[in-house]
Amino acid sequence: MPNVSQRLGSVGLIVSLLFFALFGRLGQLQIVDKEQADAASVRNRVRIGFEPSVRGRILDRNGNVLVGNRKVNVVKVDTSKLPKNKARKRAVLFRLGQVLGIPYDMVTARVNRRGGQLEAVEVAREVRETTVVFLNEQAEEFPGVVTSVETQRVYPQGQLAAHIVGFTGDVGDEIKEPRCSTANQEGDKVGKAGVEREFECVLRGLPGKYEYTVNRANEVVGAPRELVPPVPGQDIRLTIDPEIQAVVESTLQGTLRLARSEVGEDNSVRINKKAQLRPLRAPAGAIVVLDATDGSIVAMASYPTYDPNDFVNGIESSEYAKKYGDKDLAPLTNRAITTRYSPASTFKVFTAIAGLRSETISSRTTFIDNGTWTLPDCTKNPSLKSRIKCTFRNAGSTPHGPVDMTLSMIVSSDVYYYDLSWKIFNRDEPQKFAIQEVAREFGMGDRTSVALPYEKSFPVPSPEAKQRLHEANKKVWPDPVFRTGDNINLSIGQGELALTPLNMASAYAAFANGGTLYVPKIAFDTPPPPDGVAIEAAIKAAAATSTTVAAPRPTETGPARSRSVDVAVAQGAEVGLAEPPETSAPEVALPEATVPQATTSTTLVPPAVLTPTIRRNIDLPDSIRQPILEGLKGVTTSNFGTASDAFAGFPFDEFFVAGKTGTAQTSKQDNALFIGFGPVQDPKYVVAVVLEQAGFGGQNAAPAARRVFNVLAGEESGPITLVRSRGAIDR
Amino acid sequence: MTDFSLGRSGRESRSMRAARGGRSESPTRHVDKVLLITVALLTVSSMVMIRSSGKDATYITKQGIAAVIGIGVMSVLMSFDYRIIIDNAAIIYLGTVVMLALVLVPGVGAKNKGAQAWFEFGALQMQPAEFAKLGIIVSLAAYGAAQRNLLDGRRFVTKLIITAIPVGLIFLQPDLGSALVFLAIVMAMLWMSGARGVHMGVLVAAGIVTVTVAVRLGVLAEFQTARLLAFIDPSRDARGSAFNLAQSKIAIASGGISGKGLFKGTQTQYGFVPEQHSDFIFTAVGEQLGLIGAGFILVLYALLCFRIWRAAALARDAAGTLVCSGVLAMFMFHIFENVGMTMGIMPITGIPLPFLSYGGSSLIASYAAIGLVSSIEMYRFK
Repeated sequence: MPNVSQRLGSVGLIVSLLFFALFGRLGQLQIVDKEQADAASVRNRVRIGFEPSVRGRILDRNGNVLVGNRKVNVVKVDTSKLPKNKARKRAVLFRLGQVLGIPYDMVTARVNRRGGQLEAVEVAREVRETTVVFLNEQAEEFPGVVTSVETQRVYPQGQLAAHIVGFTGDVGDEIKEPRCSTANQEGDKVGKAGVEREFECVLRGLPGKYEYTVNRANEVVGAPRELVPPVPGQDIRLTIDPEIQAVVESTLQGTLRLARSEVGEDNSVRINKKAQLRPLRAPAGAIVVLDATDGSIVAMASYPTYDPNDFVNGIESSEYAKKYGDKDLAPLTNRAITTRYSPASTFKVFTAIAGLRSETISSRTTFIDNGTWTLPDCTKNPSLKSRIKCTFRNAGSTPHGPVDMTLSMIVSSDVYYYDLSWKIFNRDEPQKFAIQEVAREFGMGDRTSVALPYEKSFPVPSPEAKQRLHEANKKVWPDPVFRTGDNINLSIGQGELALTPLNMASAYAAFANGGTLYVPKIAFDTPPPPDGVAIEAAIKAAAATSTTVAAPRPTETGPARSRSVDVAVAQGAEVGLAEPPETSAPEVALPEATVPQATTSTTLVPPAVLTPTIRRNIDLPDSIRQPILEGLKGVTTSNFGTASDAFAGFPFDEFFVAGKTGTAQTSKQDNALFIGFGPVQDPKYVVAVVLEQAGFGGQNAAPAARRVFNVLAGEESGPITLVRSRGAIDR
Repeated sequence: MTDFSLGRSGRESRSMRAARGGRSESPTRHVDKVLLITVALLTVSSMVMIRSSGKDATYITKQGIAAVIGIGVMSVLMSFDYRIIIDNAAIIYLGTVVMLALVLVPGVGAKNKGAQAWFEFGALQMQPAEFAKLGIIVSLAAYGAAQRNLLDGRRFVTKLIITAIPVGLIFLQPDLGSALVFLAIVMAMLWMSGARGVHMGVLVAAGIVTVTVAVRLGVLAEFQTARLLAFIDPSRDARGSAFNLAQSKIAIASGGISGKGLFKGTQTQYGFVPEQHSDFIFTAVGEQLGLIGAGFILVLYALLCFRIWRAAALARDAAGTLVCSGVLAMFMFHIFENVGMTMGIMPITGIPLPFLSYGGSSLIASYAAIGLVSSIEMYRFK
């Protein structure tokens, strides 16, 4: 017999307990877990989006556009919105391929490239307007297909100055190590070479940042809210003179082509230990034109070159291998700043300075050059005999008779410098290493610090440098001791001495201008890149103090900004300046950072202001400079001058060019060099020419320099005329 | 409290009471106004919450029509003595079983979300399982009222069989949640009719076995199994059931004390919680109205349960007490399971929150249940 009230009582107890549990749990969630859940609900729905800023342009010295931007239509596929049904999906992609004129396989390959990502994947670029209109009109037929307008790089002057401007490419792994103040996003293009790379942060500006809300299906709901407005990238105005650059490039290419019909000794082809004559390969070279008065680079060319257009949309690896894969030619390498060349006889200028400065000789000291020079006491050390050369020769063992310093430059006597360097090396320290000291003073052994990526430098040969070489590779460098022979090689710019063409030009510029070594400049003064972190902090601080709420902005309109955001930025500026301790650094010049808006897409050009950077003032008294200069003048004008044939008929009265030829021995054919400057009365331009495997400097490099000087002197560039051999050979 | 171990039929007790010269005032005097006001408040809240969960006016209209029908059914049930229904329990039981069988016939019943559980009449849908609960309550009450002594083995088994037939049919739909409601109902009603501890133990064991077998044999729809497993081990399924559960908890918890405001719940408005107008409507309350709003709703439910419990206590015969107990168990199970699952203390099963969830059948059946309870209160002295 059930006791109803008792049983009902227990039911009531259970009901009470259950409600107690519900209330308890509700309180636990809504009071204890509230904060965590808030964060989770924000994570659920709030996404951060980035709006790329317009990349700054690259202009030449005159303000003409070398690298600009152009709007192109891009077709993308949002894989999440494609039909789930496989057959339907295939049909959509097949139809898309037909419309775009791309094979179906390629469409699927591109779609699957970044499968499973939330963002849309690019399928085609530079799509015709009519195609875009069609795709948008038939949108129901193409679910998941989206079109957009993007800017991409355009090169109005074609390949001109390709190595200088460089190119952009997919951000790739750099996304993990951003170079600028704000991180890159997937799909960004960043500078990969040249000015595009070196000035990445200035060119890039700051991407806009906005937040938007998504629902569970990851569809955007409502209007996005701008957090940081995009700051357009700044234009870079290069010091490159387009006309001279064009002449330099055509001269480089043309000279190399002409040289290929000449012959020269080839050390890689020897019969009975004697190098054989072979047609010159002349595959590559570089020319630098430097302004000796401020260090600005007027022109710089490297051959073989490349077409930056190939990299605008990425390059297929097969095409890359075909066009740019050759490791020896290395068309992407800017030889002017990265390749090691022996300066050969062009280095004699610095050996001469060392001789005079150490007072080892005077400029009037005469030496009888009978074509060869034998190292005294050489045979006394039989253990070294097998390894060390005792007799050193002029090129072709040509005797020059009695030579003083000036004549040694004109005829390029090696024997004179062998003797000089031996004398210097026999002195006590510090005079013993006078050549090394002068070389370093003129910037050799260090990078010039030009604002270009991948610049190389190579140590000046010295006891320490040789020791390091020996330690690094004992097989190749069995002898750890820096000997007289090494110093003798150094004196004529051979042996382990290696410089880049820019380094050579820079050293000659310091000689030409009387001793001021400048850091070479590729661009006029450029403002620092915007500091994204500081700008964002200032905007946040402004938002905290003002009631301005950034108005929603339609996504489609792109760079158009809402007014209230501008207000917020302006307030941010004020707050940032008024209360520096709150925000990070006081140099957060926000107003400036937002100003450059004007320089994009308008014709405004950054001013041609250059603040030279002096690296060093070298003590170069006239007593030292003058006798050497006389020699360099003789090189181009004297009957015996190694470059006089190349400069025959040059208007020396208006524009006196002095210079030095060089012919560098290599394991293959000789490299031809010439470095000159002018006008001598008030030196302005330095031209350095290095041609690989192109024979004698006087015959093949000096004519190239002459053609460049023609233009610098205000003449017609004229045809390239190589000099036929007339017996006199110069190393 | 009266000990009514009379075990007589309704008519007998009524005549006896009349002979006693007991109170015989108008039944309307005994209407439980608190109960009716509670139900009305829940119905109004339901309209607001369905609208605020992002559903358009047609949902409100449909729910409103269902409410009108439900109130109509309730009024009819309140207008006559519940004993008439008890007397006709056999017909009701038969009707219930026939309905549940018919819905399983393809072409007659309709399939939706993996369960063959609906009758469709044009735009209208009817879920017989919702009404079957009441049918079983009435049937068990009628059978239990005839009982004289403590529950014996034979009666226990008979009651189980009475329940098992409709439950089995519901299982075939399959609808695990509704099937479990029957378990709660039958446990409460057996307890009230004097079940021993052993009986209750057997029932609990039967429930566990049923669920286990159902999962193992794959009787349940895939999503139902997934929900159960996700409850046991949330790491099993990140994007499906466990994800839904996590989103539901985030919604309620992020409401905090005062809520995000009606129509302003981000979890609700952007669809992060599934089925927010129906099974998961409590999350819309929790997120948008906070502890204050959700607590108020729970208070209303507690009041509802208390008034039904009170009706069970006031009932003057076994049938009345049993019906009220059954209805109490039904509501309590719905409330605890539904609210519990949104807060992660119960596994997810698809049963609605009475009066609040969108769904006509549930609403009408709930009103009918209130009508029965009211009738028991109103006519208890007759």
